[in-house]
Amino acid sequence: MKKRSFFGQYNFSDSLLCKLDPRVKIVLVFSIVVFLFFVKTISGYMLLLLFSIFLILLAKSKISDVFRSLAPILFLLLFTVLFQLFFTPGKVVYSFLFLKITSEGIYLATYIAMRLMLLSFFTFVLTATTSNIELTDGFESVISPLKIVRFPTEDVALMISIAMRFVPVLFEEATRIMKAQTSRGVLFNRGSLMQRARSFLPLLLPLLLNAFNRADQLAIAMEARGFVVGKARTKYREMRIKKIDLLFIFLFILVMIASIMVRNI
Amino acid sequence: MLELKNVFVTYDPNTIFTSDALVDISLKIKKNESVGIVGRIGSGKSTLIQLFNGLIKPDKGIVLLDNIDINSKQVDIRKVRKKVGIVFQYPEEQFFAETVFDEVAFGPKNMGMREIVLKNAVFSALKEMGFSSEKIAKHSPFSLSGGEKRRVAIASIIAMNPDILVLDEPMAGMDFDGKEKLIKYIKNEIKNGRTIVFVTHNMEELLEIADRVIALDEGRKVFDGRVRDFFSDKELIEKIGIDIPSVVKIRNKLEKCYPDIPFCRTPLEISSYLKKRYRP
Repeated sequence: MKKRSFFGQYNFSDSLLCKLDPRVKIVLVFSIVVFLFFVKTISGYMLLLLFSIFLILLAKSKISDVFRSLAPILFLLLFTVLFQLFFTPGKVVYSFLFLKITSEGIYLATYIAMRLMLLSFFTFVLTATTSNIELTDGFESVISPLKIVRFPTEDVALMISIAMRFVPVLFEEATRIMKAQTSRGVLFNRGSLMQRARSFLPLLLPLLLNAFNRADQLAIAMEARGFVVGKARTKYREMRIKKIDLLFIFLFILVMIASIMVRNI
Repeated sequence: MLELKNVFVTYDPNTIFTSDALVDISLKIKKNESVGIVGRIGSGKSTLIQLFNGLIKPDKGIVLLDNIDINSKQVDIRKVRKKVGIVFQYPEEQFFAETVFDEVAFGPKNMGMREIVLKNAVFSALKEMGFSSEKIAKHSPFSLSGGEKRRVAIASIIAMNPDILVLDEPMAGMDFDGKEKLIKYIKNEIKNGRTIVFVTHNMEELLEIADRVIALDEGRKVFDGRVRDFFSDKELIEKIGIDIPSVVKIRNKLEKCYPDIPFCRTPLEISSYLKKRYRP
């Protein structure tokens, strides 16, 4: 029997990347993802690809897990690549009936594919080496400058962490209700589309009701323990930038510069 | 008859979360038995009962219902689920229908019951769970009291007329009154010839309802036998960390003076024995 894991990428390894400050990781991954759109050469992308593979290996992740992480964006990837391939005007290289492939199309399609792939590789490294708690803590810290414009950064971070925390709970609950209704003769994965849609009502309704109840209870429990919206709270985990963090910041900057400077082959 | 043969269930095999939920479980549940399943939290009780109607498939071993492997492809799993009805923990959390009638009718409808047969099934199930007035069927299930909700939820399974009724902690979170009633109706079900399997942490309930006990510890079956033998196995009871009910303790003390005292399930049985002895 297999249980589904959620945000399952975090692999609890003792890799070097797990020890990095989450803030550093978030900022680095975010900047390299933005940076992807400024690289203009294939060799630049190749360099970034090698770098991402290096990071994946350093994270002690399985390559199969990386490809599995591509699955959700596979459709988007295929769609954009095909769209670029066939509908970019320019010098025709090959044509079949109304479909024309242009050299500009090939060029753009490759770029888009590389960008999307690298994007998911780098974010994979982030989620594989950072736990949800670290992610939200890091995120809160990263967006904290927004406090100046009165943006409720702590509340937003808390909302995100509660939402993340409850995904597995809701999932488990959904499984439980599904099993209970299955015992009453519902077959969720059989029948026509209409039948299937209808069979989800006995799942969704109790799930929603229970979620609201749970939210109510959580709010009361938090207030009972002294939580007040907008009031400052102290932190249990203090994040500190270490030497290793600086090393990686340096490495990232180096790779970014190199991938821009490298000449097209 | 339900039979498990050398069943193994492992969660998340080949990962760091891997855990053996059930290890080499073999058991038979015969017609008209009332079986209590006990064990610590995480000992595999819930996994075990979910095997009974194919909600979980064993990694190794087979589950037989009337000598047919329920997980084989030829078997219509709906028929299995009609024969083995499972009432989950806090079953009232699955309510979704507008009226009690629709809620109870949901299962039988899925099983293909229509019109008069359906109506009869719903009302007789409600009656079995102690709702004598048919008015209740028009109420919203969400408007009922806690105890009533629980009984409607159990009725919604009974309405499918299962041969085996499986209950996962049926008394959890109930008040005294609700518990009393529920025990009464469950005992009635046994009297009417339904096979009952239930998971419990409450030894008084176990003593009152069950004839046979199956005890699990870390996914292994550590006891399978009569209730009276279960409570006399002190070593086992200590091992799986349960409390001997006071009725059994009192009875055991009395046994020293009255060696002929029978096994008693309720305080009433003890008192009636004593009455008989002193006022024949």
